[in-house]
Amino acid sequence: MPFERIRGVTNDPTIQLMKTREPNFNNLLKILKNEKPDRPTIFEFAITGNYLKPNADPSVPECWDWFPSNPFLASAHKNLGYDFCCGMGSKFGFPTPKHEKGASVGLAHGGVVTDQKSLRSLDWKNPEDFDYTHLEKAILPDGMGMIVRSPGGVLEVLTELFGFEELCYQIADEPELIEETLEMIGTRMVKYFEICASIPQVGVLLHSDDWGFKSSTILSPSQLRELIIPWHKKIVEACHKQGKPVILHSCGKLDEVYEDIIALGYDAKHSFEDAAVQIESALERWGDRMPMLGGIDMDFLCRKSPEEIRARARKLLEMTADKGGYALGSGNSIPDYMPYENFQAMNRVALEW
Amino acid sequence: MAVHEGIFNAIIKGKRKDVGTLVQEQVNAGAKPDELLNESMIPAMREVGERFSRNEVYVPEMLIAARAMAAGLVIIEPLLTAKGIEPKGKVAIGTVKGDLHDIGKNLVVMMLKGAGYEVVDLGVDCPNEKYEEAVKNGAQVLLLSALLTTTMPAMKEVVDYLRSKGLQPKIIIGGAPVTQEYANEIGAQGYGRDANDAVKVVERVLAA
Repeated sequence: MPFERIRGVTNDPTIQLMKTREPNFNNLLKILKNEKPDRPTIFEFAITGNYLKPNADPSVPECWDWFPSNPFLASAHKNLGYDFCCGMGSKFGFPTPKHEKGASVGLAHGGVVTDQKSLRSLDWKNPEDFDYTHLEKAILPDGMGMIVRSPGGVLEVLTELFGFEELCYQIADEPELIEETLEMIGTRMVKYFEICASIPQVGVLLHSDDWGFKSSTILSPSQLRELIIPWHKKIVEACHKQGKPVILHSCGKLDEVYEDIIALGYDAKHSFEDAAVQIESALERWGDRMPMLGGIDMDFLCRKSPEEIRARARKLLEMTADKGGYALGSGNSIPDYMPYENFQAMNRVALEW
Repeated sequence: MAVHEGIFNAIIKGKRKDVGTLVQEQVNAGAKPDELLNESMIPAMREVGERFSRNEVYVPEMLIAARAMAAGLVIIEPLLTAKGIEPKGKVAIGTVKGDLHDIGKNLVVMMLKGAGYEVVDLGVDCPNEKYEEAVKNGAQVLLLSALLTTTMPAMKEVVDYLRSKGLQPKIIIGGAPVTQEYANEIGAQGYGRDANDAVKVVERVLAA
């Protein structure tokens, strides 16, 4: 999306609405307790730089460090009407393979772990060796909070290290190799969350770990329970030990493990697709026990008219107006191929409520 | 011959070594390879596909079963060729231009092979010309895969391109954002909801 197009609408009333909205992070915290926020609240965990850049205050120097403490990103989030800025806690990451650049990435093959030797020879970094002081020093606009997200998720990293098909074979053939790999991923992921959650300025954490395809979970529910969920449990416990809520972002059809997600103690679920589980259905089935964030299907947001998007957003807010436990947003994220007027149409319903 | 329970169950459970051993034993004992394939091996993969559609087995189990099936096919296929037995049909499959996702496509490949088809895997990020070449090389059905809303329009481009070249293969589409409605809209003959469904749709369009 060209910047000029967005700049051309900066006098649009929606932009003015967004800019005059006073952030209040407590609204999100109330939602995560399954309570009613003081006003409809909007949520995204990732927004394209093309939409952030024109909305940042011109006085703030442009900076593309994806940290929630980054004043440039925080300014853009505030001006778009959000109560928080979401980003990484540090530059810590896993030794996953580099994929060829393109519009998308295939994960069926291209892994780098084939055996114990290749696993151990990877350049494993430790989260405690990275800098998190920027989070402590963060000066955000009044009322805003920080959400720190993970560098991928336990299953996502495991899949990237093996390649999906090889992973499936190795789970059957070499369970000890899988166990050792998960230990190396999981201990680091837990440590990362422990560090971030212990920083007073960090308000909420988010673990991003896709578990589902369109028609089923990626691994079987029993494999998820045996291999992946125990690590999620440790991550949730690490956050809760510091009194911090933690959100699960996980894509795909997860019906069969929703009870597990609720039992894990995650404070909200993010990511929904109409082809897998519609947000409206998820709210009806599990909303009384699990706050939900976002949910308007990406394809719907990209291809429907602003009027249709407004109607759906309004219904979602009406559905949750009495009970709370819901923030309006996309089913996944705001990429630059999403028409800007559609993104605005969705958020404007909350801003004008 | 009746269904060979050992081979049938070994494929379903993904026991590839057992499948190889059992199929070889049967061949050595004089079993007809086409009967082994049609009465024990293909029904086993069909059963896996049905269980997958009912969410009773998941993608990893399907991959393991397909790998076990492949261990039997390695033994069976040369024998079928030697006897002049043809596959059920020739199909080609590829992920469309701009899209690098291949988990779904690969599953469909495995299921189609397991159903007795000759499958030409065109890979990912396929330009129109690659599909054209496959049709000219005898593919009766083309299967197009896309994971992204942004790459899905490339399916229509393939359909339009082939029609502009005067080629009329049966075209089936599938992938996360794809719907029957979209298949109708672009003039594809079928839409596969999942890998198991894709096999049924191939059978249907070839029978039409």
